[in-house]
Amino acid sequence: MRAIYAVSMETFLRLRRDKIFLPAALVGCGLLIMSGLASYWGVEEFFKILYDLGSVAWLFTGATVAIFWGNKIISDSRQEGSLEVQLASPISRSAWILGKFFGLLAALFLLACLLLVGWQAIYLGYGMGWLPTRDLIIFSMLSLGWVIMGAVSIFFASLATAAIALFCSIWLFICGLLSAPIMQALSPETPAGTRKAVELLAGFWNLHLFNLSGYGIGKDFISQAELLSRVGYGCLLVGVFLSLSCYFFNRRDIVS
Amino acid sequence: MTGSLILEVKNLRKVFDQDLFKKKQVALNDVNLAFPEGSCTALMGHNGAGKTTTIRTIFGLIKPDHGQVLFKGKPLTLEDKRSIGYMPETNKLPGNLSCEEVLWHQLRVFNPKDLKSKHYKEAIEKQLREVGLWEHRKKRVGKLSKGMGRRLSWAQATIHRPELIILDEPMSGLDPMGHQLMSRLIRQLHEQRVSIILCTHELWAIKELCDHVHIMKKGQLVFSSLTPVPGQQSSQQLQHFLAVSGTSAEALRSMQETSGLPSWGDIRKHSYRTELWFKDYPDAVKWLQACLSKGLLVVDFRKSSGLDEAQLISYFAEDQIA
Repeated sequence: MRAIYAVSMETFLRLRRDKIFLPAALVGCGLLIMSGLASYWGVEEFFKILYDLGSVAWLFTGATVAIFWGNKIISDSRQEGSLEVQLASPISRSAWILGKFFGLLAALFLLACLLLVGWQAIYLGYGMGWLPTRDLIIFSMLSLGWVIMGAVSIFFASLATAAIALFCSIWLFICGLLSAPIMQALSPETPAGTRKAVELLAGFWNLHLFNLSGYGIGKDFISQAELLSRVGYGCLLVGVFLSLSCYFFNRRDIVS
Repeated sequence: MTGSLILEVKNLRKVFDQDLFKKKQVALNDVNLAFPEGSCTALMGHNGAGKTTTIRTIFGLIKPDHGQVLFKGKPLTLEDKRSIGYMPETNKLPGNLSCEEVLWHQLRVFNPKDLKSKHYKEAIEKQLREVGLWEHRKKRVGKLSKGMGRRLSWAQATIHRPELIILDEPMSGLDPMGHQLMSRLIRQLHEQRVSIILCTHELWAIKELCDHVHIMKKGQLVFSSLTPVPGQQSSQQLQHFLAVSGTSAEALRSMQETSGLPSWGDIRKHSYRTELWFKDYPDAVKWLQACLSKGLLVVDFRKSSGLDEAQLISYFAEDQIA
């Protein structure tokens, strides 16, 4: 536990100082504020545009940063060689991966807090008061999507070079966004085999499960059971990717 | 011998698969190494001889195909790594942390038993002062010069007071002052009976700092001053030497005959001094006492690998491949 804590502290400190942190926070807040402006001037319903654009801004900003950081924390350690020194100390490889993940988690939490301040600013700007719990749940679920992408990125970075890992993570992110719409767009003439394959993929890897922005404007919010099952599923995905990272990372030689 | 060994490498073999179409590369071929407790042992060899691979295998960074690493006679565990320090060949430090933070992290990871966390600050200050980096404690690692980076690497490797420290080319990239500081630090550790494994190409460092030498070539051990290796030129057993200045070999010979002193194993004449080499410590002490009583100028007296420069160089010659 101590080793995990030490690695996560170091990782958090490094990510907090990372050059991407401030731009990401500013761009994220900027996008959220722009979505507020767009919804104000838009012809459609104010809240619909606000939630649609806001959730997209939130998801893309955070997921992109999570992918980039997940990749960076592993590949930077490998490139600068600090990985070699850290693994020569009493830290198991699995503890090192978990420490890196928790450090990333803490940095993403900080970023989410900053973005939430931006969102709150929109609310206050339009005289809507403090954020309702519903919004906090929506953004927490979207942030769970970031965490999943962070775990995906750590998984690829633990077994491939930085460029390949980045490519694979982005590709998987796009797959996660497109799998459900593709499944819904299949025509009745689609062969059963193809349909089954697409359904299987979309059932396993569908990032829209964590986007609750559709519930932002309606009277009915997602049921507690459904919410918990989605949170559980998200945590399961994180667990699967981290377990795979540890498994593969434990098997390879560390030659920097 | 096993009782006094801090680290042992037994029958280590590692073959790297380069890719499908290239032949396999044997990095380590049945390597056996012993490192006595409290001594400074050099691990020497060409670039690509397998020294760094051996070190990485010791730390479990590289998984061997065969063989094992023993720490105090038992297979090396994660917990044992708490007693080992490592200074790699180049500065492998996290670029955007400050000197102080690097050492904080190291202490958090190693959690030394005899150092409570409330004393970490003092330990860090002491360590940074020792290597002359206290003034630069807030400086980020990425902004340090190479020499400063080496000093920080040293501080990182030793802050938890290890029993064994593995130094991979500690002098590389250092200016003369840095060299001097590094050899002083190594000597200090040696005096404190910390076991040291020194990977280096610097012959003077081996001569001046080390008690024993292992020489590797093409993934194999070709010479060891501790245990004779099959095919080894000669088993080197002379480990204690006495250097006197201002006298000749003839004068020392006549002194031996008249005073009934034990015979030396070897006598080596250098520009300004004569070295007498002995296998046994008591013989060396008798000579030291005799020299001092005769008023001779004793310039050095200690344990060494017993190898002279010419012998060391001979192991690097291509025709010496085992």
